[in-house]
Amino acid sequence: MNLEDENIAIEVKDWALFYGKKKALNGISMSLPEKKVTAFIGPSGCGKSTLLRCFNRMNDLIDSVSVTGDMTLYGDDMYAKEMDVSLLRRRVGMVFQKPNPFPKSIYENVCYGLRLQGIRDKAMLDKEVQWALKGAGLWEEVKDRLDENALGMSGGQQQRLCIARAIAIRPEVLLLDEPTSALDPISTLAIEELIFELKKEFTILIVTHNMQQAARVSDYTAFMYMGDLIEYSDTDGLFTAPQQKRTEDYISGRYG
Amino acid sequence: MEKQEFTSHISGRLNDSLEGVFNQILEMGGLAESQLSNALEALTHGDVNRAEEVIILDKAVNMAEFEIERLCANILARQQPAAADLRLTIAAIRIAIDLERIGDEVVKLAKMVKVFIKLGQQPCDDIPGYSKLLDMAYRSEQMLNATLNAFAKLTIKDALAVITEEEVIDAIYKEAYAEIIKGFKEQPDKVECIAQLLLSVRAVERVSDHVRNIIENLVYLINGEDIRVMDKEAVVKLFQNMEASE
Repeated sequence: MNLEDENIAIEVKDWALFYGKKKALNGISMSLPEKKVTAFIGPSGCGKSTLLRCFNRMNDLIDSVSVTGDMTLYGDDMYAKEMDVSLLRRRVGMVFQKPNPFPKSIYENVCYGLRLQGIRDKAMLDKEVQWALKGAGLWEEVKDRLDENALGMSGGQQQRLCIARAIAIRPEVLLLDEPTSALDPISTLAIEELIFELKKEFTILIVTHNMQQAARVSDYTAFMYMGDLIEYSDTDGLFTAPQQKRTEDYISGRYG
Repeated sequence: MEKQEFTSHISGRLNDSLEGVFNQILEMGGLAESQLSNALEALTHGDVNRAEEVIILDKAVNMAEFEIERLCANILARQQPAAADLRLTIAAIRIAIDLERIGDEVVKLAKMVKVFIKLGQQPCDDIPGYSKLLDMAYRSEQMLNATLNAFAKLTIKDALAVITEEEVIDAIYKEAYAEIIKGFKEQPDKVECIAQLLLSVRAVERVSDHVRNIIENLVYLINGEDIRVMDKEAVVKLFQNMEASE
């Protein structure tokens, strides 16, 4: 597996981010491959979540944040003045650490984004809801209770519902920010299995504190440390023979 | 690579487990080494007790392989090692297999000594291929010694010499084989001894193959490169680069 053989979805160049005067990302450059899973690992505060949130401009919501550098999604400048942020977020969906379904029915949760897009055709909504729930591996469990409140589901089901909600609008890229850290091991495995299926259709970027999870689910892994991208390579290589001492120390749990 | 890399984890249990595996490999290597030196003593002195010792030591070598496998399986199941830790675990399993096989091959040599003594073929330097067998066996002993020292110190500076020596032993084996075949034709009265010798040169040639496997695993452990699939030129280049950075 080699980055040079991949189609690139997102291209990052000299990307820096400041919280006020404090630099949180130090000029990151990397190419993120299409329809592959790329994992971001690193200790707390290394900038991995900050970087992930840059991919759908979530950091725009924080006043003190400023950025420099280039970020393009299939060649489109993601930070251009004329870029419609809502449109960008439709192309780059996101799932968070804690499952956060709306206090609505399972059905309404999944078609929420579609309704926002103005789709009213019931037959079409039904079809899309079914597709998304199947895609999230949830259809068989909920098909007979689509009208029930989503908050009555288990944590693992709620998280898969959030994934269904995110993929219902068919984004190109799916951002997962520690999607299983609030789940039990079996629900975690279900999500990991799902990630493996989802990469057939989506480019997936995942931030995780669980290194074994990164090793299990990703094709490429990026190790970050104090705002720098230390090492970025195919996951097999990074976990068996990392090139950088810092990576080695981190993934093998040594005092760095 | 320094040995303390395996004992500087935040997890004390992982430190203990990896250190345990490392020491077990050295201990098992020591057993295989004494098997080989005992077999050589038995051969050159016609000493049946030494030959018996080789066979008894083999049980300890077999047990050591089980133990290393058990330790490594536990590490994999419980600690999920990564990077150098993972490579040590994998290399340990492979090296234990090679050491166990070395033990088996050396037993063949010891059994030959017992047959020689039984047949009254002592001294045995007139058997075709005998001097070549000794040459191969002493070289293999040196190879094993150098390899285990390299493992203990986690250095590859002697690795190329070991690999080259294995190729030398291969060449001697071919000559010994030709000599033995000639012996079968010319000394029909010694067929049983010559057949034993054929088995033994083959066994010693296999010992050197296993030692080479061990040094290849050591290279994998130290820098993650699998030199089994590289041609000699690439291997030489790799060693030059590694030595420069060591």
